[in-house]
Amino acid sequence: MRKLSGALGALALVGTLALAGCSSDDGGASGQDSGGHQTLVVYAAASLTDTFTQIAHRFEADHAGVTVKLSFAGSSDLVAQLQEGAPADVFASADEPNMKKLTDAGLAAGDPVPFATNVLTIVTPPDDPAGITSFQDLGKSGVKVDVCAPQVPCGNAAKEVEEATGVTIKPVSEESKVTDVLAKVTSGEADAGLVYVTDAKGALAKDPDALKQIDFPESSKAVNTYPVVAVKGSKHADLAKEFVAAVTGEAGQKVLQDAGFGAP
Amino acid sequence: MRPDRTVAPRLPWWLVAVAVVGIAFVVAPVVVMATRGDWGQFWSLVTSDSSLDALRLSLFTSVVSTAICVVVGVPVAVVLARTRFPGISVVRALVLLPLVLPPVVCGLALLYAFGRRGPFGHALENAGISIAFTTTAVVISHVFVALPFLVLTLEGALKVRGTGPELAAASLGAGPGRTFWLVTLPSVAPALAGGALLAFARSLGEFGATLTFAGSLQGVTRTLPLEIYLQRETDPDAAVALSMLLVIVAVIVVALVHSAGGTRSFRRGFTDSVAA
Amino acid sequence: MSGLHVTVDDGARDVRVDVAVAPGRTLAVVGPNGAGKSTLLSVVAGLYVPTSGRVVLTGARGEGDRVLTDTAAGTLVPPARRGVVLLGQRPELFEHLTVRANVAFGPRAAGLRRADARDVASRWLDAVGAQGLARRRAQALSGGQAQRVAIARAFAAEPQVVLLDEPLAAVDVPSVPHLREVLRRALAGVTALVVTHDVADALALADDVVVVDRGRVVEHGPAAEVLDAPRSAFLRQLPAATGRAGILGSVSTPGPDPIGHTDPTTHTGEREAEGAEHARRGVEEHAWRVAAAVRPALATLVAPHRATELAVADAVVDPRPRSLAAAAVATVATPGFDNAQMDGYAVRAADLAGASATAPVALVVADPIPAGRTGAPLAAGTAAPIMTGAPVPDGADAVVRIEDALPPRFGQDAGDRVSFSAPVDAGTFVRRAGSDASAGDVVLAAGAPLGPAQLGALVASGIDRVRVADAPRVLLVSTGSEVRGAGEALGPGQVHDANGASLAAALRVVGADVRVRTVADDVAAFRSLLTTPDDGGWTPDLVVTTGGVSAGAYEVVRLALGALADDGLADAWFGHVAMQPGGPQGLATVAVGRGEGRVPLVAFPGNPVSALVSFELFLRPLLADATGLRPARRGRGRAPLAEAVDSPPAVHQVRRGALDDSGRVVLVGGPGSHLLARYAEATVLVHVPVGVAHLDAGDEIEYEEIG
Repeated sequence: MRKLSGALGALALVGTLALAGCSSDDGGASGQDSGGHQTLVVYAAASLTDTFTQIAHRFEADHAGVTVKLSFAGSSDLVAQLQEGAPADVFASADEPNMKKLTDAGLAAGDPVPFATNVLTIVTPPDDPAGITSFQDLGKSGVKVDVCAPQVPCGNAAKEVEEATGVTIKPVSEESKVTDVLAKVTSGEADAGLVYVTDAKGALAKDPDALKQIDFPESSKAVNTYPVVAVKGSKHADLAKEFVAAVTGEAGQKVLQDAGFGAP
Repeated sequence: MRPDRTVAPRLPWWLVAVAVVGIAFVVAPVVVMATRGDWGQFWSLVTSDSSLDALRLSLFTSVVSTAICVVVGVPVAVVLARTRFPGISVVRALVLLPLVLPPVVCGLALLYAFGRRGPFGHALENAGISIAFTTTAVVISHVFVALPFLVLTLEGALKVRGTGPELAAASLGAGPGRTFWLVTLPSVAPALAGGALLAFARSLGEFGATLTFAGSLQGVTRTLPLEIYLQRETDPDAAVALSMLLVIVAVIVVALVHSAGGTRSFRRGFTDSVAA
Repeated sequence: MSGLHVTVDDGARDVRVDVAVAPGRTLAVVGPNGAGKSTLLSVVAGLYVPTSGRVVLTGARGEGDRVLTDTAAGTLVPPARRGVVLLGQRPELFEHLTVRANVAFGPRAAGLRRADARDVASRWLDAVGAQGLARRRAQALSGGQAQRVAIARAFAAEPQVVLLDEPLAAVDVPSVPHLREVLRRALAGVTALVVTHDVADALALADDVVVVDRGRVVEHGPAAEVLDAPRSAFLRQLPAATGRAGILGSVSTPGPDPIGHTDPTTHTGEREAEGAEHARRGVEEHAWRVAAAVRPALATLVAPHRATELAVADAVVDPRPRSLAAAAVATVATPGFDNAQMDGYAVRAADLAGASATAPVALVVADPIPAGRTGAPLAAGTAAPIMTGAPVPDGADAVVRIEDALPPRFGQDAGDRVSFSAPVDAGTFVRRAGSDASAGDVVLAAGAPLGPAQLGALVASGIDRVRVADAPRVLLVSTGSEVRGAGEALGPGQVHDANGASLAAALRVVGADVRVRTVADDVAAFRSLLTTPDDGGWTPDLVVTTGGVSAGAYEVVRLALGALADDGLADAWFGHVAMQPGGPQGLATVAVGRGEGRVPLVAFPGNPVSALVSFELFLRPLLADATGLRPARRGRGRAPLAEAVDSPPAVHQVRRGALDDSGRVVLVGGPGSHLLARYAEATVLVHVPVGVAHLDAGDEIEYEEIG
């Protein structure tokens, strides 16, 4: 009995250790698979989820034996991971400051290439309870406006537009994520929100009645540019460059503009 | 300090081994995170306006939420532990639901119930009370996720302790109220303190439900975890520093409340002064 | 203080009982597990509602009955408002409170102010001897202390009814006797229901007993009666339906087998060697078995052929204690004539009808009436000076006190005038003939002892002869070849019979008719002493032997009784009783002389101190009851010890001692002292009960006065 319980205990211990070690050789990104298979790892800003998935499918179709692994997250998260040594081949940022972090760290292979632009738009609940028609309406007292925090790109853009127009918005909340702004608007909690055109289009694509999009001319005061670059140290440097080219090429641009992005 | 010369019962070696792994599993990430922080900047980072606002808000909302949890949770626990009615197990499961729900789901549920277009929120809005984007919303989400911790702890203690003292009190002529205040409550005071501590800790760390339901605005709804989350977008060092601040605050609170002397003196001071 | 009436008819638990407790009395409910005792308590406490039942506080606070539970009417008063306190096996103290706060809990709940509640708590803590614990946390108490506090807490709540559920069952053994005494005192005058499986508890605590078995009441009556003569199967099978209020109280009558044959050690030495220690008998059990064997024999002392007629005048000077064999009936009325209750004037009430302060009535003074003689009839308009006890003359019907007369003093000559300023009712200050007792009234019941007051009453009632119980005839046999009578010359290795002397004297003091015999260690001689008719047809009512009972090589008493038992002439038990001194004891019934019946034989050990202590414990109370010796029991009390004492916990130790000037118990001689000289110095016997191994100086101990 004593022996048995000892053995069981040892087993449990081994199990625990095995668990601890199980992720060590997973997620090897630039693996040269057997049979000439190649896997390209692309880190892209979360706002590119739909478009880059389409572009990657087309890229795989054009390159036999190549699999594209996409990883979407906030640009700052992705940069942080790359700085920790995450094995990616391509990085597409939602803004230039994050891209600058990468180049400053010497992790970019060549200069980043702008491939898309994005501007802000106003979203309101479908019934537009506060009667918003212009950017100036957002500065009225009593209007509950939800924006992104200045620390994140969409919030930074909103700040720029405010400064350029002299309209002061007193937001009820400053979200970390565009999706949180959208959620507060679609639920009717906020009267209006400032998001990127692409975010508004994405939400409308899923549910045409989710919200009302009100574009405004002052949005040109803050144009957000998306750069893309091959990551230094990639085992598939050529393939990475090809992927960058695919993004900036005609087909890639069509996908991006269909989704509401502007040309670079 | 007197050396402890009592002989503790022996444990199987493998149990101790797994326990060491388990403890290391919890402690190691926090320690590693601490080493990654920019300690030279720590003071200036945690004393920035936004950090101090977040800390103040976190402490305030956690204290208020814990108080509400005690006021509401004690009756819930006593009813669950001391009454019998059909469907009690279903009620208990429902009350404990926030334990298993993802915090974001809790936030959504609260949004639908207390949001401007929800049934309760709408009624309150008509009465001129707006919850959305206010500190009240933060407290509501904290209470929602923290309440089960207090209820669970207290109900367990009540069941373990049995009804002997309550029956004795009744037999001595004490009505239900007197029995509750002088016998039931003090006798589970340690469990109440423990449960309140858990609820407080849960409030302090609460993130998802708050973000979803209350929003995030400095000084109003942006608690320390939300601030950390936001800081991480631009300044991971600041995020680590704030995380360490949260760890320190949590450790201090736990140490203060969980000291056995604290709970005992609380019980004595409370009941002796009333009982005789 | 209310009484209690409970009716339960519960189909679910198959309990159907109906019990009532009179105000201020304690009822013990005994019975096997699952008999329904706990159901009964739960119903009274309001914790269980039977399918059908009623709980009524009878005559509560002069407001008539108060219904607590009535299933027919749907009444159920909640526990907190029933005025019923339940004290269970476990103290259930409020561990977060101090001892004082625990005890003050009930008074506070009843609305007393804090200071008053504390006073009540203090009183009860004193009563249970726990005042020193007042400031302690309840959780820091030992089991016995906690139960003591729980007792104080229950009684401090001043309930109408106290319910005790096995109150001593969970208390460690050494604390039981003390706690039982605490409870006994607390229960005095309280209406209470005690559920217990311990007959000793029932006897100590309860006035009445009901035996419940399988949900039904099978016996009911006063505690002493029920437990003395158990009828129910449950009581009879109890190993020790024994202890009447400690070992010293009166002892009980037989179960089916008084001698105790079922014990493994009987008759012979060999059996004892096998049976040894586990066969040790409790002191209480032996006491009641002795009583069971001896009482019937003593009961014959009042039988017509034994009772004797005795002149009251002789009884007054008779040195021997006596008790009445038959009721004494007054032959004359007392007082025999109307007499004056005060010094004053015998008057006719009619003469003074118009008297007042403004218009006093003057009467002519008649001749004084002397005591012991009948004076002349009182003429109208006269007043006769009369002394207390003197016969009121014919014609007079009232006495006016001398201080109410004018002048308020005697000394008037016959023919002088005396004035009265108030009327007087007929009969005032006149003790009527027969107002104490009329002829034919029972003055003293059968069994009454003839003490000073009783003898006075007999004489006053004109009774000159009474039938008194015969003195018990006790044959005292000292055994041992080495024993010589007092005063005889001693040969080598011989000793004087100190045993015989001390026991004979003890027997004489309690009123027995003693004959002392000495027998050598010779079975045949011992047998012939019992079987050969003695002189003058004197047949003993009781045989007491000393020596020859232990497990030695040649123990004449047990060998002789064993042989008689084999011949069908005796039933005998020899064995150890859990006491010190005096472990080896024997009890038998034996055929004596040509008598048809058996005579009880009580065998004491040979050690003189052991024999005398055994006599005190087992025989003295029985004989005192029979002879009319008063007081029939030694005075008992509790006092702190002046010194520490150790005792083997398995035995009941009886030490000799004395009370010092500060009322503390000082021990005289060691536990095993054989020296009668030391015993002679003692004034008290000190009882260290079973289960107590050590007592410190200052601990209270029970003693009884012997000198």
